[in-house]
Amino acid sequence: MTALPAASSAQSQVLCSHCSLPVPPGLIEQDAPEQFCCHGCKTAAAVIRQYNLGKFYTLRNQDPLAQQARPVITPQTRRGSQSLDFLDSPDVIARCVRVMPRASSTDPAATTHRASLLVDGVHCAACVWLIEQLPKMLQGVLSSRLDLSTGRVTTFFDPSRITLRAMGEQLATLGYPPQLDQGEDLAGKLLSRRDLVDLGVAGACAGNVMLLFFALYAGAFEGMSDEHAALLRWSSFLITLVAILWPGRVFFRGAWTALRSGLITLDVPLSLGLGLGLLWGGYNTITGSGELFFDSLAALVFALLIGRTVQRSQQRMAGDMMSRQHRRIPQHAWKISPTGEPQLIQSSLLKPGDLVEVRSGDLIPADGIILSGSSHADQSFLTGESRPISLKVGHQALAGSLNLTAPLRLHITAAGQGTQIAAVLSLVDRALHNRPNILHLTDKLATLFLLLVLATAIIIFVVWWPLDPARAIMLTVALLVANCPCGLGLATPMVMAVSLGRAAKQGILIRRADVVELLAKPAHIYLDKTGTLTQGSLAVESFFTTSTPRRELALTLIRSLETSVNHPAAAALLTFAQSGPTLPTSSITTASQGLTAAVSLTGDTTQHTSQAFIGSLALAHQSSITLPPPLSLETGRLLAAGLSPVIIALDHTAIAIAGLGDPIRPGTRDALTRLMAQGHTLEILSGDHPQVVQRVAHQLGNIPFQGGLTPQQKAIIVQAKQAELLAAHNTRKVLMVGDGVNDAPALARADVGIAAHGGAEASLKAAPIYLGTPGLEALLDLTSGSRRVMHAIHITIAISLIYNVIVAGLCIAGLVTPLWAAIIMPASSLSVTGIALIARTFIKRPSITSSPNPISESPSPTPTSTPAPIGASA
Amino acid sequence: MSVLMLVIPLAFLLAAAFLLGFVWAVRNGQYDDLQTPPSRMALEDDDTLALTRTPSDQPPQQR
Repeated sequence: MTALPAASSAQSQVLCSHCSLPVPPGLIEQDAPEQFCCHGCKTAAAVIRQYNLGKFYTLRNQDPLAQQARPVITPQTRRGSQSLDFLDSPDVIARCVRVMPRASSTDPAATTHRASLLVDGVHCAACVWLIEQLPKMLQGVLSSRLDLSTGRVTTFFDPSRITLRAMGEQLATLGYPPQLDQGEDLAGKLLSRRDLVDLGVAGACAGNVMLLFFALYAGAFEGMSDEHAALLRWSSFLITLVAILWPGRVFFRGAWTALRSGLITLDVPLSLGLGLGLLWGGYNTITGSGELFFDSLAALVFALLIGRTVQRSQQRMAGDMMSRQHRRIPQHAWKISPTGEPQLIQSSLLKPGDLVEVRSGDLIPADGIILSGSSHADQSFLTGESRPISLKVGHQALAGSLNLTAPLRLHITAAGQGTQIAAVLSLVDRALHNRPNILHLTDKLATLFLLLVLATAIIIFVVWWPLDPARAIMLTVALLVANCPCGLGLATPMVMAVSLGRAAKQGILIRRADVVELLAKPAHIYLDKTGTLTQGSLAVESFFTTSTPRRELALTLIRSLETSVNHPAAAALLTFAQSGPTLPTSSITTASQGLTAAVSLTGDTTQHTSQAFIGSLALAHQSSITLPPPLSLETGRLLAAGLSPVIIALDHTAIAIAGLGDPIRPGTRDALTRLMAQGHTLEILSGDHPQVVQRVAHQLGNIPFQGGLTPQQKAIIVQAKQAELLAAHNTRKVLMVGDGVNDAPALARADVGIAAHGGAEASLKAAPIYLGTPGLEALLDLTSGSRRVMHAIHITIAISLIYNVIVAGLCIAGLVTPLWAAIIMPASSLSVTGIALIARTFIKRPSITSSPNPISESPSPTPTSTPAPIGASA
Repeated sequence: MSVLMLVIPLAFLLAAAFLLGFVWAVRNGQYDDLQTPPSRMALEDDDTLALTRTPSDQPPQQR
């Protein structure tokens, strides 16, 4: 038996000259000076050479950002040629082009237009440079600017010399496919500006009050005239008033919201301290005697705002980067007008009853019945099924699926909110709203701590009031201010912000910081199969022939025939067959599940024509192709193993069988073992056929699984597990890792949803975390990193507790003066911030997978007989 | 002696002016994109300058 394992990519990898990704074996050109992984890279490189812009490569190789960012955003050139027709549509032009009021300086009659487009795949200085060279490549473009953080390209152009579409096409050629600019996120922008203004004002106030207090402290020791002291006290009072009422208002607002919902947060004692301190200080300023705390108050506002602003800007950045990853539902559709002409309109304007045309390579804009055409569609994001489904006249096509092979005409049955994908999305929204509230450990610690501080403050006040009312108030304020839990208020946000930044550099985007705590503890992790555990695309996993010459012949047939079709199965077969000799073919007929052709074979002396066939088992039976016994045995084995057999036949006799499947990602098994070693329990949830899921679960070491699930069922399973854990008083949380729309409701429902690499829009929306690198090693990095973050936070809390105990002791003894408070507070803040900055949280890991060789994960050639232990299909 | 009475408030006026300048800059969007300008600064070389110097290709002032 000569069953051979799958692709032999153990040989040294050839990297693409343009994007540095591995070049698929089939595309390696021997002796060429440059190698390209795809047509897109080849074209982009040609354009760059044509305009003499080779500096791009020099810049890119120098830029460390380019190396770091690459795993986060994969080159979009691989997405294939997306239609840019929408750039011609008048409503698109109206939306993203503005006529500039100022005309060109030389020719006042000529107007200048400004266009704004979003591009994918920009991540470093070299991209900025290349895109801003657009005027060199296109006549009529006057200038071009790129904003790296949003991916927005703004160009000024002369509409008489160039069109929006031409610019879009040039950007796409360079590997930056343009998207319609949805308008800026104004609310987010204004919020981050407000944060920055608050921080600036607080900083300026704190600095100036401190300067005044240097003078006041010096005056206290060396003597100072009353009028000068009054001047300094009044000015510091006014500045502190500004600091507390303007930037400090966020604390009062936070305290009010917390109290209304019956919670005690950090904001409560803080507001109390700030308010009491301000009132007491104001009273003392007016009466001209007694202590002031203004320097501590102003510094406190500033220090806490630093922590908050930094953390919020990190979270916002992660959120922005996530929202740039998706864009799944097409914005435009070709509607067939009554006259039969296709017209480009916005998808939102489609309604049931309309006719639309969907070209191959385009996303289907609405649910509908196929009127004409026969094609294949990739619905994996919706159903989890990795194999493309065949679409024929009368079949139903679902919005959001990708039309792969041929143009289709649809009669729309549901559009917009009525589509299946919209139903799944609304499920996500509901799940997000109904998620149980989690009380975090840091919150619990903080509440306890804050109650202690408040209790101590009351004790001090009650004890000292009969002795010395003025002193009682001073000590109470001193306690509230100096005892400000900096470990919680400043250090925790700082550790979080620093860690989120480091995680983002590693390709892990964390949008909500509170989930980090949940990830640090052992949890029950549900894993999606397609795209998470497996590659999410078809590949030849086994190839069976009876002899080596037959194998060569079968591979030659694949190379000769399959190039004529555009189908994922054909692509998988071609990748497997690699490069080699081909045969002249003629009269190729393609069916939906295979093709036949006449090939001329050269024998020893003669040349004759034979009938070659490559196709599915069903089509082979239809075409009355005979399967010799070893081959028919192999078909049974492949079916049992959950692989799709593809028959390769010559003159109605099968000579080889390829098993197509979705291979497991390299390194997955290792990562799973290590996750289990961390104490996590694992389970696979998949929408794929239970038999296929069983095979994967078995290969990964008999992991419990459930297959054949709908998105709703996945969410129900997650919810049931949460209820079960709650009923058992188990604090274990439920994590869900997935990438498709079919995972989105479960991701939203889980305590922590983690969207895996390449995820659809819905899953990114539902999950607070996005893993930018494929495979489960990123998940492992995430859990280990979270553990280190929590460790660092616990240390900072411990240190600030020690400070606080000392200060509380001094307060109770009546020893604390404003000067002491002014010294202790910054000292504690600085020490915990220092720890936050040096803590090693998310660290770059040396690559775990020593060899990216898929052979180790490929199925064993012997039939699999032991089923997975738990096989519950819903 | 009384010069302090004048100088200290003056100093605060000066500080307030700078603070207002900062607030204006933030609201004007100067701090919106902190990523691109640093890389662009390192890139601008002779040929981009030559390009923008061509009179007919003068880009209009971006608002």
